[in-house]
Amino acid sequence: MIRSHVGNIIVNNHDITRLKGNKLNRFRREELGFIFQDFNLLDTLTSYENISLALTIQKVNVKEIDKRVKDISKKLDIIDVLDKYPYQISGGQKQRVASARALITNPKLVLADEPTGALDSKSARQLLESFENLNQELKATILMVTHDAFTASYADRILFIKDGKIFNELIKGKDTRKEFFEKIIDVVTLLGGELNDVI
Amino acid sequence: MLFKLSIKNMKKSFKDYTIYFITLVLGVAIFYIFNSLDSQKAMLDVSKSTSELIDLMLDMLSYVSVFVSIILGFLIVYASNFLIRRRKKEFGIYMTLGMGKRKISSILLIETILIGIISLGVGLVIGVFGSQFMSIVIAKMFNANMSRYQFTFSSTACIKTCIYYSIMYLLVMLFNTLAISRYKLIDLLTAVKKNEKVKIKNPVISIIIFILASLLLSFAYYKVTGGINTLSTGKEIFKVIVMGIIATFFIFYSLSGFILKLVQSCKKIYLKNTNMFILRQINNKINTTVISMTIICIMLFMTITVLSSSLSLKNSMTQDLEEMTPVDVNLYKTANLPDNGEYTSLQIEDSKLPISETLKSFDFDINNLKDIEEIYIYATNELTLNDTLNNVLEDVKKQFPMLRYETAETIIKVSDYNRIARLYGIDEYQLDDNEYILLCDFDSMLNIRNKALKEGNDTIKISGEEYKSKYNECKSGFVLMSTSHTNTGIILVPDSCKLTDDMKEQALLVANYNANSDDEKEKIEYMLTDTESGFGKKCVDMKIELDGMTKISLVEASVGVTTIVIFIAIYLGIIFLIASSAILALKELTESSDNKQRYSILRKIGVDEKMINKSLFVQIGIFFIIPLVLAILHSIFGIKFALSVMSMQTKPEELIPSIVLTVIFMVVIYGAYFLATYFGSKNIIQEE
Repeated sequence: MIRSHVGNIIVNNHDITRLKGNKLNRFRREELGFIFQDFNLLDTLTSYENISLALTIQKVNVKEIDKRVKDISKKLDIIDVLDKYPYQISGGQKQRVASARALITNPKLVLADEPTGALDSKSARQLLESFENLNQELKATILMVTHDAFTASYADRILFIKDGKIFNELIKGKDTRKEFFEKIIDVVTLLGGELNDVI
Repeated sequence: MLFKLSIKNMKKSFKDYTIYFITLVLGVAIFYIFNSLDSQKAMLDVSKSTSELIDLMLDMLSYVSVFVSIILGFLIVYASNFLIRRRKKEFGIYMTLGMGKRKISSILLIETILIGIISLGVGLVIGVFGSQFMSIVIAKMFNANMSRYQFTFSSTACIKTCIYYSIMYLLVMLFNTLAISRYKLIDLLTAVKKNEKVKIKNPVISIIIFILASLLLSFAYYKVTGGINTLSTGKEIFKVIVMGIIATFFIFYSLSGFILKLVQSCKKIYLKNTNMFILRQINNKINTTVISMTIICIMLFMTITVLSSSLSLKNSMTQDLEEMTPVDVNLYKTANLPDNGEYTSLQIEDSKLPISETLKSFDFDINNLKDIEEIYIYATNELTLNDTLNNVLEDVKKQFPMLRYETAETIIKVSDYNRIARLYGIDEYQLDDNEYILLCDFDSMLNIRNKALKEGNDTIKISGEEYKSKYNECKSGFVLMSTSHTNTGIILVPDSCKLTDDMKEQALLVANYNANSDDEKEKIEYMLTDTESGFGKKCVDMKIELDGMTKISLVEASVGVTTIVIFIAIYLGIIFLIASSAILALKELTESSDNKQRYSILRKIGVDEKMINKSLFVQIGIFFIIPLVLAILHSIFGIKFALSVMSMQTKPEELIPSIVLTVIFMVVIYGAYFLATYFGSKNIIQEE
């Protein structure tokens, strides 16, 4: 991770900008989960193995690993593809496997970088719906970067960024997703027709 | 412009080139060293026969060099192919910028020439200095004195090296141009992204193949050890070798799947740290490298077998040699030459005299010799191989198809034999009037003779008298010196046996030189054996054929032969070792650069550097160890086979020194390549 030069980042009452070496590694391993645009699954491993790798490197015991992989897979609806290799499954399934890997460690914060970028709209919707569930059930904070207004409309709170600066903020509150989506579009229009980084 | 580009490229990809470069330099240096031995010879004080042996060795080494250059040629083509693969994207970019394929080829051409010249230069420098060290080794091997040390440089070897390597580099250029012309732009640009298709084999089939291959290998192992008697022809041996190669191939083909399945069934190990990643990596890699693994394994096998069996050949031959050359000289001549017009009367006359008389009559001062014993060796058509071996003729025909059964057996009176045995310091024997003893120490003949005796053929008849074998087996003993145990059969009979004068086959004289120093011995040896000396010349003039065996010439011949074998073995051994290590190293480096993505994923999901490096180390380690383990297993049986073919009875503990030497050899070269590969790979997978 790139170290910040100014300001502090506080996660779970710890200032992570001050962490170094092994502590930083442990923090990254145990408190953070990453989801990437291009999935970053290991092509030599099955889905099951890809998900469990996040736990084996934390030296979790075997029975626990099996239980947790099955658990999270049920929630993300990927039980059927656990024995398959990444090249045998669809993009949406791959992203859900990657999400399972990010979430299985019960991280405090999940960082998602354009998670729907490589998906068609149906898969994207499925994925975002599972994110919603996970957010509510596991109480995991999901920090997502996207250019897509539809994807952003699944969030509770949105920060618009233009040219590196925070431009605006939207909070979903009691709006339905459709109303929230329209509000987002309004802001985007105001921003100059194109959507910039949205958090 | 192109030249500049080439130089910059080389600087940039220096890390990739390191192993390639080291391999080239080593190859050049070794090639020079083994071809420059002629200039080393000049420094040595050696006798004429040793000098001839060294010439023979040089001849053989030059033939071997052709073979070696073929191996090195393959290696260089393979390595340069690897480097091109690594740079596909770079070439792709040149092409999008409008550079033609011809220009890209010329960049490669310039690079090949540059690398060629530099490696040739560095290699030759190392070779020249290495060959100085080599002259010490040669002197020691041939038991020669280094009379005058001088710095030697062999221009013939240098020119030869340059020519051979130029041909190899020309081939490389040809292959490179071919390779470039076949590439399409789109492939070059996407080369980096392209993931190798992950081929997954059915684990059950893997297990079945693994078991079948193991069975085949065990059968081949059995053939070369327990069933060695069935391997009488070259064709049979070739069959077993092919069997071994096929089995090796299929073991590698199925091994990873087999191990994967095995470890997977033990979840505790499989789901620990990055174990499953490592296993999957290996499984995936082995799938694509079965053929090169097989080649590497076989080359390692040859290195180990050739080195250890040739080194132990020297040990056992020197041991035999001491036993078999107890005195300074054996002289013998045919007794009773027939008066049929073929021979002069002088020759016939002389053949009736004992050897000491011949020596005297041709002015050889008998005082030069001491401990003289003279005996006659008898033979008669009444007693031939046909008589002594008639119950085991089948076996004899198998082992010695060229043997003539009407050949008469060698007969010696027991008291004659005992005089010689006493001088030699070997066992003496006692006989009653109706007994005989069979002496034999040549292994394969010994077995047959023992069988013949045990199966009841233990009576012989000479001049109408019957004799029964005192023992139901052959005893050891010999009368003629030799480099190893080669007595195929002597029958000892009691002195009372009626051996007539016309049964005298040969007169034999054994003696020591009456001298105190090696120099004096050499002088007597010269007088006795050289055709230019007074005595020798007279014998030649009178056509008196006096044959002989001297300790000095036997030792020289034996040392010479083993040394030649060892030199060629070491030469080939090193080349095989370098070639296989380099192939393995390059293969691994390619893999590491192809798998860079996977390591960056590991980093992203939070695996720390230490764990990543460890998994890399384990992977490369396993890749270097798997072919080595199988090669060692092959070698155990290969060495046994080699020893029994050379019919040497070497005890396991006698093999230890040569095996230790081989191991040191292997560890240094193979280990160095392993470390170079590990650090190179670590560099490659590091994030910029």
